[in-house]
Amino acid sequence: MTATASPPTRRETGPDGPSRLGPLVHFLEHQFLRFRTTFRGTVVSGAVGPLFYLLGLGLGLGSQIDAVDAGLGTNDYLDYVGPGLMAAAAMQLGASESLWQTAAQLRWRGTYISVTATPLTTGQLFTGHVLWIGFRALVGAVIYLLVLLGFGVVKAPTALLAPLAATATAMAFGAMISAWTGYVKNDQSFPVILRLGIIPLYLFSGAFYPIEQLPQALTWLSRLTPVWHGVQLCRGTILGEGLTVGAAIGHSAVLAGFITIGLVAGRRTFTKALGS
Amino acid sequence: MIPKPVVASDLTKRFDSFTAVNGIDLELEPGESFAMLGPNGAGKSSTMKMISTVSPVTSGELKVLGGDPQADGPAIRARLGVVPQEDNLDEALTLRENLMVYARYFGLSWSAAGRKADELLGFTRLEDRAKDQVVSLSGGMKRRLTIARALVNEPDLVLLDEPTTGLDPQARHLLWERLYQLKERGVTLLLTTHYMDEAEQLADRLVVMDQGKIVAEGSPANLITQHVTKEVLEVRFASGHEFDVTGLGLRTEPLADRTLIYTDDGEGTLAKLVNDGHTPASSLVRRASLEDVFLALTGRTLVE
Amino acid sequence: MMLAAVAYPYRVVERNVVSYRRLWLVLVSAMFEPVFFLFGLGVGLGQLVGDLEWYGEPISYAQFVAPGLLASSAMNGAIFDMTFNFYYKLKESRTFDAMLVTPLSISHVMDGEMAWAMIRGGFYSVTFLGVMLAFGLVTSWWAVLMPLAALLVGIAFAAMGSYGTTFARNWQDFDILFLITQPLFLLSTTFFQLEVYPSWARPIVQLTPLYHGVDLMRDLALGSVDGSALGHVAYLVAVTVIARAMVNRRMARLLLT
Repeated sequence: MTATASPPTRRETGPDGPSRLGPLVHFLEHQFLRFRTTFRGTVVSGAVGPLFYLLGLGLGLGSQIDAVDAGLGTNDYLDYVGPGLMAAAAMQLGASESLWQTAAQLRWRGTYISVTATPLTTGQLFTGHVLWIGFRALVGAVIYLLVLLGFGVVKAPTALLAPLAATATAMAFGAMISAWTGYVKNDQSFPVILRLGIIPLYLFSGAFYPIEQLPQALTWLSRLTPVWHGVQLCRGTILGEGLTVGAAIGHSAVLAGFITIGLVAGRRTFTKALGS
Repeated sequence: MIPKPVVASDLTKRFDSFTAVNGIDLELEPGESFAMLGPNGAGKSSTMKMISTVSPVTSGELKVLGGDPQADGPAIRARLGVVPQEDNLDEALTLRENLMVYARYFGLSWSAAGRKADELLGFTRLEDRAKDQVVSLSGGMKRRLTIARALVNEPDLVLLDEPTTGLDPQARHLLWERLYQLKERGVTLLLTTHYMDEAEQLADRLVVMDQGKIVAEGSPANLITQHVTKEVLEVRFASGHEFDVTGLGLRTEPLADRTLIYTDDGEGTLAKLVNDGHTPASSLVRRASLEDVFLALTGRTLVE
Repeated sequence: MMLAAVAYPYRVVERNVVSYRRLWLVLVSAMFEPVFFLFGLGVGLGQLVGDLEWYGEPISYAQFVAPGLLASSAMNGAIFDMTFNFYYKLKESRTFDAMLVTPLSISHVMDGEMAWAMIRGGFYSVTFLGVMLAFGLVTSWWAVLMPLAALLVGIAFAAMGSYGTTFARNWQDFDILFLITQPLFLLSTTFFQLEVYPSWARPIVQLTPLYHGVDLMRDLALGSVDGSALGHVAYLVAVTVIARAMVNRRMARLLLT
């Protein structure tokens, strides 16, 4: 049998030439294929991590707390702490994904260096990187939402919006910290960021108790961080009360602002890191 | 009398059902440079690990620097320098710190360790990088630092497992030159390699290993005269050209892309071929090398 | 001349001191971790929980939680050095291979690494004890033994952590470590009393190693030392001795082949 191989007469790019977003989509597809190996980590940090806090502090310690007396606005401490943990865990996921893992792809193992040999621009690469962190946070948050449902914490259909708030929180931290990772040459600052940055933010995020209890300076400091806004959104949507539409828009705008700052900074630092 | 640095008889290493080293005999003389040559999986590295006292001997006898590797491990290692196949430098430390910390393991005082580190950084031409992190080094520099590290205890025997694999020609020559200087100082060198030129450059004596066994032993020149002819004619015929070179009455070796013809007169043999109407598409006459020895002994090429 | 059994591990400790000279901020930052938990959760949640009762005496929630945090941070400190860093030296940089072709033996290397983790952990426990003292969270002279108890918790987890690490195949396997240490931290009575659990669950909690560390530490800080404290010590010593013997054998299987 003879097969006559005809030379390709047309490139498969569609009538308008190559799509501008095409490379970005391919990047996300590639990450998605890798997800089989990284999925377990996502579930562990995005859903199982907050579940342990939910059990230990929500159920265990919560049994010692009279939520009504304490003026938390819920009947049980579990209802108070459960939703907030979704946003706090998303922050943690966004931060931890942006440190060693990102440095490895950007510098040590060179996965991202090989990506830039494709039509993908470094700006698109960074956007894709942050979107990917958001996607992983979304998966973790949806699983965790089902856990909350099982515990009877979910009170309103608006809870379906909560994973989006968690995603935005993860993207805000993911973008800003990945930008930092693109800026620095080594990993010496990473444990310091986690210990002096992320851990206190986690504890003072308002997930565990109203930050209005704190000294006023700390209260305001806490309100300046993205995670507090994420916590307010998650709690408000899951409980279906205590959050006006206006406040929700405000919190969302703050998160969008942080994501934008991170994207602008990260596009620059990634370009510099990959350009040399 | 100085004991022989390495004496092995019927030395064997088995991992479960796999026999990595299958009853080899070795005897190194003090001050000589000895090479183990063979392809990947021939058992060179396993032999090296047994000699470095890290890997227990399955059966047979082994004496290193006069001691028993199992019973006298620490005393033997105190006089041994080891350059492993993969650099395992300490990436948390600078170059100088790598050498100093390592010297401390051999019991040097901090000040002696500092002097030793500076001396060896000079010897391996790394003095400019003393305060840099290991991560920033090129492959050749890392290799040099690993060799420097193996010398902090002024060893009597240095084991080098594929010292130049993966290095560019310039880096290899610099390393060879340093190793040659060591030999001149009377240090016994035992190296493994799968490069012929390396063995020819560095080794006084060598063994050829294949599938856990020693298949030949001698000096590089001896091995060549014993097992192959003086010259080798390499020929390649155009596809479709039917010609059976075995009819020449010479030993030949058909390879995938060309045929080797062993002859003492390469040009003469080539002329005869052309005369008979079998002009090859390309041809090359060269001196026989250890590569040919290995091919003659095992029927396989070294680097596949 | 020092005995080899001391001199060689000492040089392994030196290696770690040299490697952390430029990373002092990493060392110091870990000191703040239990302090953040004390003020972030202990004080904040304390306002919601109110006072607790301990052996018939009322105590503040911060008094209750602080000794538990000290025990937990002793665990976390040891775990960090003897799992992540240990894995890196064992499998990635192969630092241990390089050490074992010097006169050092596996037990020297392990002793040295453990000693370093203890020095580091001891430093953190002393600083945290200082914070507890400054905020009046210590009410007994028994508290002078708390750093020793912290070392005991640390060495038990260092031995167990390094043993578990010898089985890790890749970095993803460290998820499993998180799945073990995180529930220990949050569920081993660090944050609430054993009596909160239903009676059937209490013996299970009492089997876990961190529970013994937390309870021992609380006894020392609050002066409620009795026979059970000896039981806690015996448990932690036994765990250490067993895990320590097993890790030496595992290391020989991995490195001396």
